[in-house]
Amino acid sequence: MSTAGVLLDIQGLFKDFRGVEVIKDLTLCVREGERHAIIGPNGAGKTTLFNLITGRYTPSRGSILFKGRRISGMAPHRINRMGVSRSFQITNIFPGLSVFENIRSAILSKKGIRWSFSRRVSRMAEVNRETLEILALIGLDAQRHLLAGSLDYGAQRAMEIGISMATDPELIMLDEPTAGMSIEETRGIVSLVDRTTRGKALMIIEHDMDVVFSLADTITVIHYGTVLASGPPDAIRNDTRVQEAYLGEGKPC
Amino acid sequence: MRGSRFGWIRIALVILVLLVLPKLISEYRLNLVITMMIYSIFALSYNLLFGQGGLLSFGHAAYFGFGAYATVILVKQLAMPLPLGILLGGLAGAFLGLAFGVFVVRMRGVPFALLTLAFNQLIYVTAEKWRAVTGGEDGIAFIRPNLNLGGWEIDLWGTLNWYYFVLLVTLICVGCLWYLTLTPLGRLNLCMRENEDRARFIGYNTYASRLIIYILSGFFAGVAGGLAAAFQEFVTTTFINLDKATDVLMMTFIGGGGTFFGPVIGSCALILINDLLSTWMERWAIVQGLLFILLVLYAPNGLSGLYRSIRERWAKQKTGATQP
Repeated sequence: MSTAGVLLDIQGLFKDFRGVEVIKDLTLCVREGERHAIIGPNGAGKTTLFNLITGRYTPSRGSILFKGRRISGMAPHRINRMGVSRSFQITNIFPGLSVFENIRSAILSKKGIRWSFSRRVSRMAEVNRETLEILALIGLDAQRHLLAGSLDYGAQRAMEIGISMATDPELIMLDEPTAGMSIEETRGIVSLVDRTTRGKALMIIEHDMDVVFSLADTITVIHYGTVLASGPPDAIRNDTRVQEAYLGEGKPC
Repeated sequence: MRGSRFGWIRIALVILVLLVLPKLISEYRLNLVITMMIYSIFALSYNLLFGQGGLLSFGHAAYFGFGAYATVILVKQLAMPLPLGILLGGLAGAFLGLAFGVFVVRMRGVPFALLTLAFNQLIYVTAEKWRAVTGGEDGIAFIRPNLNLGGWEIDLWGTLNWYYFVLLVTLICVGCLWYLTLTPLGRLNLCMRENEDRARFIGYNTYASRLIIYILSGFFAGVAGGLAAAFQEFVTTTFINLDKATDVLMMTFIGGGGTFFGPVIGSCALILINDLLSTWMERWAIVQGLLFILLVLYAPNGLSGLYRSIRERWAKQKTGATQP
């Protein structure tokens, strides 16, 4: 297999928690600019996979390469600085800070202005301009002075994506961005994801098949911690094993 | 913009009052104000952890006391100038912050509180037992040396000059700590209080960042300790004991950790209350304890939080009254 254009390369990944194997011999590839959906039943190991890639967990075995460099076992902040950013299934923001400051903290980190104590943030024109750009992108510029924790659920989900996007990653990983949303809100998030991730590699865990088929150009089905099938949407839709394991079996939600 | 200009005027007024204060009040009261200023620095350093960092430390006296001993020993044994001794006292506090911080900043909540307590006791017992250096329970007495500014000798022994010296150091420390809250590092401290996990996933090394904050907090506590020792011309284990550690917690809590100047209000209030009560009764600590309990129960955000909520209620009543 040629390695040209491969951004994320996972080979023979294993993860067990006290003997319970959650990820078993998982091999997966994400190319530059690819829009890759990860689907599978609850408990299949999708979020665990995200946690392994982004450094929350260390793999038991196997390797994860990002841009040819091994990232398995690295600390989360170092993986993020290499260009991998993620959102969380359960909203994970800075609730007691303003919406503006939530995004600005990510912008400051991206620019490497982390420990400065000589300059005031309010005077950093470039940082504040980029923060406003992200806020405009996620449609929260009017609410920028409110506390993030006081926003309604839909707006907090948008913030969640906004914080992840603001570090300007090459690979953006979204863990169920539409979880718990109405049809209307889901449509808004899909268009937001589509707008903000254009040209970047995207990995998205999603249960809503409409969202998956409208966003992804590659789908990987994970079942019992390993890859059941991977390929373009049409091939996955017609795959009999996938239909047995997942799509046909009950309602996928 | 208007709000910040109003803030500047208020700050200028406070500084002006502090400058002319020696003309207005007795020497006894002036000494009380000196104590308030020193403990304001201590409480503000504590609030880097408590209010801004969301960490409850029971061991902040370690850095205060370590700085105090360092200052006294350096000034007395090595005949160092007092400002340098106090600066090095701060650096000693910072160094201890590094040594202990390596362990404590891995934790939060109860484990953090208990480990800071344990380290405080470690330093306390060391100061008590290592008589050759610390003088044990007797402590070390010394005399504030004069300040020599290139041939111009200033007598720091008198209360008036000493007051202005402490005022200058306090203004510098408060200014630095206030400025810190406006910088990326100061804002990061708030981010880590709100959600350390999230900060990690947007590229912040939260362990190293919290260690830096911890070291800075140790520095300013050390400066306060050095000033306090120079003020009393004496250092003893009471600078490191648990009372000292809970005093700073109480001051910060009473004033309120949620605002920058809350800890200043708290230390002034507590020192004033103690002074008033101790002239009236012997068991003044009971009243102090009762006040603390009432505040914890009914004003968990301290005096500054209480003021804020009263003002908000007022504003609400006003707007409510204008509506038909």
